[in-house]
Amino acid sequence: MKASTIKDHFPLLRRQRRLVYLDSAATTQKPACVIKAVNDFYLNANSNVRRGIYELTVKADALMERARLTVAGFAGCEAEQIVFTKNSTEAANLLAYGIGQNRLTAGDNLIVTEVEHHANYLPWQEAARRSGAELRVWPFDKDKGRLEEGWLERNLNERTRVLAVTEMSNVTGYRPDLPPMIEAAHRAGALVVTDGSQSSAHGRPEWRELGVDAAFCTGHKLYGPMGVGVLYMTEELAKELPPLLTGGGMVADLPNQWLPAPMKFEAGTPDVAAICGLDEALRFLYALDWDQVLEKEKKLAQLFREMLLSKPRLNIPGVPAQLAPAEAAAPIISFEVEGIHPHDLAEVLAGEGVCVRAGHHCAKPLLNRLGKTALTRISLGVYNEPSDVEALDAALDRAQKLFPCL
Amino acid sequence: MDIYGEIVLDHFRHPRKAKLLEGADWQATDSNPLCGDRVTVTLNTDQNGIITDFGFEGDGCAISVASTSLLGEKLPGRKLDELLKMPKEEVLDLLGIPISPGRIKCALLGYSCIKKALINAKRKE
Repeated sequence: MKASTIKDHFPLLRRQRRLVYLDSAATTQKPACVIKAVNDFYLNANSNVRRGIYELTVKADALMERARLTVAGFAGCEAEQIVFTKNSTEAANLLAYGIGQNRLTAGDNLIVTEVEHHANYLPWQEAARRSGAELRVWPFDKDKGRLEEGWLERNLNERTRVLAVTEMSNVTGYRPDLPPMIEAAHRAGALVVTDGSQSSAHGRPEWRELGVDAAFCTGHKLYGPMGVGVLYMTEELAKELPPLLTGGGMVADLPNQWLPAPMKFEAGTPDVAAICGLDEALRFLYALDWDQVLEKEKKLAQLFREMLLSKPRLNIPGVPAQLAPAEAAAPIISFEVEGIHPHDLAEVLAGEGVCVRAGHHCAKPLLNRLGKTALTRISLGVYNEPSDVEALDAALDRAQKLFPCL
Repeated sequence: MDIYGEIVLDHFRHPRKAKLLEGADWQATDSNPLCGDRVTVTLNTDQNGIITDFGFEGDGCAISVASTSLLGEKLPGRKLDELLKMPKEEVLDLLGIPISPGRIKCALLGYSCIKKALINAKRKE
């Protein structure tokens, strides 16, 4: 498969040629093979997983466990270390609930960062509130475009239980330098949880190699269907944590002898069709020669950035003008145009067939730090092309004409 | 139809009655924290419950500013009781453009704020 024909794999984009989809950070479009895999499950293998004897259910079981292997290959870990959740949010809640239950008491503290999506912020905020632990929020240095230097060392102590940090900001595309943070947190005896919701669509997660204790991502931002998330945990943590949900398929014996992970954390019927779709999505990415596609994506991101910065009245808050090449290639860019409310801007762009997102992007702590209530965001996927830069360029011109400087 | 037609853009660029009344009888503020839109309205009423004057100040997108301006223009001379019963469709009709579900809140921010002020006025009546 050649990168230039990638769009053709996506039926929605193929049918709506005029559509310029720049909202992959919200959810990616789905390739035909993924839609087919979901369909095929219901056509050929529909039956409930686990505890079945007949052939169909054996098939369904095999499909789900094959998917777990594919995901483990993607994440660089063992299949048993992969828990299927509903999404990233459920994964974060599972961790915050379990860690809160087992490890947090009044007088402890946990650290989250100001660049987190609410999914990796609110669960920790609530865990802190329930236990009486202190929530410490690592500030973002908006001039340097990264987390405040030296803050972690000053705030980590022997009562720090968790460091929860994103692998890529869903607003600025910033990637925190994780290895030194992980080392410092571990030295203090804290667990490290990373949010790979955005980063996993732009390169394989290396969770085990990275040395995090737990991490998660979601299938629908990874060209898979909605309804399936991925949670990784070290064996020790998986053994220790209690389940968030209890119910069918997760108990060895009553009252509470839980099955080992991953079953312990997968109570109830999973979305097997979505899991099959995610399996197919990862296979699709490998078949594309993903690494090569990602290189193209970086060049495209730079083109978008250059085009945006050439516009009058346009700012990219929280991202310094002088960027290292790697940072300049971030596949997510949030901007503002002076004199045009982000909602009006997104609406004019929509009228030109350009799909972008406007608002606080579920990242209020970061938006507050930037002093903004809303920003307009573009985010890239494997199907974007240089012609999309031109389309956005022309649509922005139209918006600036409609809303001239007052 | 283009949502940013002449009427909307005109009322956004030159909002009518865009000045708070000094010492107004009634005042209310409303905001949409999700997108940062904010509006304050003031109005005066006479002893018969008729609006005699209106003024507002707002900070927001074109749709929210234009809809408040369009609605505000229609208020003087109308009865409090009648306005309290005004359906939101009337505001959307004033805008005269198709409003997508995602923008309904913007279009109705001024309306809900004016309702707040009217309810305050009614209580005191």
